[in-house]
Amino acid sequence: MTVVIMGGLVGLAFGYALQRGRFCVNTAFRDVLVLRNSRLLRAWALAVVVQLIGVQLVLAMGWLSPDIPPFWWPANVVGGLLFGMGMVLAGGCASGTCYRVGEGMLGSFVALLGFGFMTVIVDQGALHPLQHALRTPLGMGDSAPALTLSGLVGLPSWAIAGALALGVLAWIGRERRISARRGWPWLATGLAIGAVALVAWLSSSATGRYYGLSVTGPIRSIFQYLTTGDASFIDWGSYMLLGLIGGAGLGGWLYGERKLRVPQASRLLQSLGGGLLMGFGAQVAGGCNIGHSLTGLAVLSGASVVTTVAIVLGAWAMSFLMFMNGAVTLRRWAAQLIPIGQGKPAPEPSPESMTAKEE
Amino acid sequence: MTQETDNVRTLDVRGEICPYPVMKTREAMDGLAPGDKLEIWLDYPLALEEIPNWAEDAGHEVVAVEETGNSEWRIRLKKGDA
Repeated sequence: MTVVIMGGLVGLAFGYALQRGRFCVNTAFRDVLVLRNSRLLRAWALAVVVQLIGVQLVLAMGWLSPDIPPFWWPANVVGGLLFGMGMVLAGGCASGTCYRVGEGMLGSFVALLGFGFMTVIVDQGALHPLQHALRTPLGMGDSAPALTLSGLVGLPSWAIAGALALGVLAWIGRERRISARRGWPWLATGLAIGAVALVAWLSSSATGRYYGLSVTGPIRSIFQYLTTGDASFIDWGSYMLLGLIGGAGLGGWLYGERKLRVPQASRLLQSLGGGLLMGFGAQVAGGCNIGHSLTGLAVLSGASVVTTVAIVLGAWAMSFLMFMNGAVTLRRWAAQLIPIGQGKPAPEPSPESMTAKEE
Repeated sequence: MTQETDNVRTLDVRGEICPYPVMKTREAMDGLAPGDKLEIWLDYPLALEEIPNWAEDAGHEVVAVEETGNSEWRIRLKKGDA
């Protein structure tokens, strides 16, 4: 019962904050490139720093003994890249997809189904050998090291945390006022999500789960329970995830932002494909934009740093292809690199591609 | 202030997922002349922040943001000179 209440309450608060802050890491990572807008990136960075400082203080008090994510670097790189591509295709990261399920978006629900089934397929099903191969590279064996940044550079973790926090706080600066705001400003969003993430560590650890917020593991646990009937898969994280969807539903309901929204069929397929890709990537990498790019960073996990960089690169690659005329640009580059016929200049870009580029 | 024209275009992005509401808004604005207006119908809360935010950054004027129903809004933008 404790685990239901502990997980459920943290989930409710998390989902509510995600919905009111429209906190989506996909939008954050994508729009800094596509729209040159860093509002949500600032919220994310602030959430990371608030939680990082909090977790480091709690660790110094000896109140936490966190599980550091294993450093399976090929799995972290490949999984992170595919997850990043998948979230751009699906139009939402793992947590963004879940909170929009609470808002009633059918596309997000379809992405979540694809995500969930794929995590089980990769963890226990037909694609398990692939996960195993990526997680046990040559010379590493079955026991991957739990690498942390402080272990890597030989500095105490408080020094690294402090330096990172100062860097981020210097960068994020002040909030610009927007005339038509309804949701939370990024400052409030970042503080709230960072605070919920810190409480999550304590609440989760009290139930014997020594990690903070995550979304991939909890989604998988629910799908594993549903497909096998084995209730031992259900833990704090599973109830947190249900609470998240409920909390987002509550925020949407209170502010008139909740209703069933049905996109066109091709978008549903796109969401499904994105969800499958995200599920594969996040499962292989051992976490998503929450487990790695929020929670794992708070314990300075090397695996989380590598996965986060891979997620950003995957998201940028997919955004470039889908929203920045990437295919046209690539063809032009290829044409310049490999001139067709000797002495002939590279083919001029067609008028359509020129106008498309100027968008 | 850009001189207002009588040209109003309508864009319906209800049901669309991230980031199509903003991308389609940007595309539609590109096809307008300064002073023309664009009326966007949407039902996606994140775009309710993103569209005005993008428009202000791009030098357009956010004329109005109205609630037209449960989780449905209409944003009116006026194209700037830029």
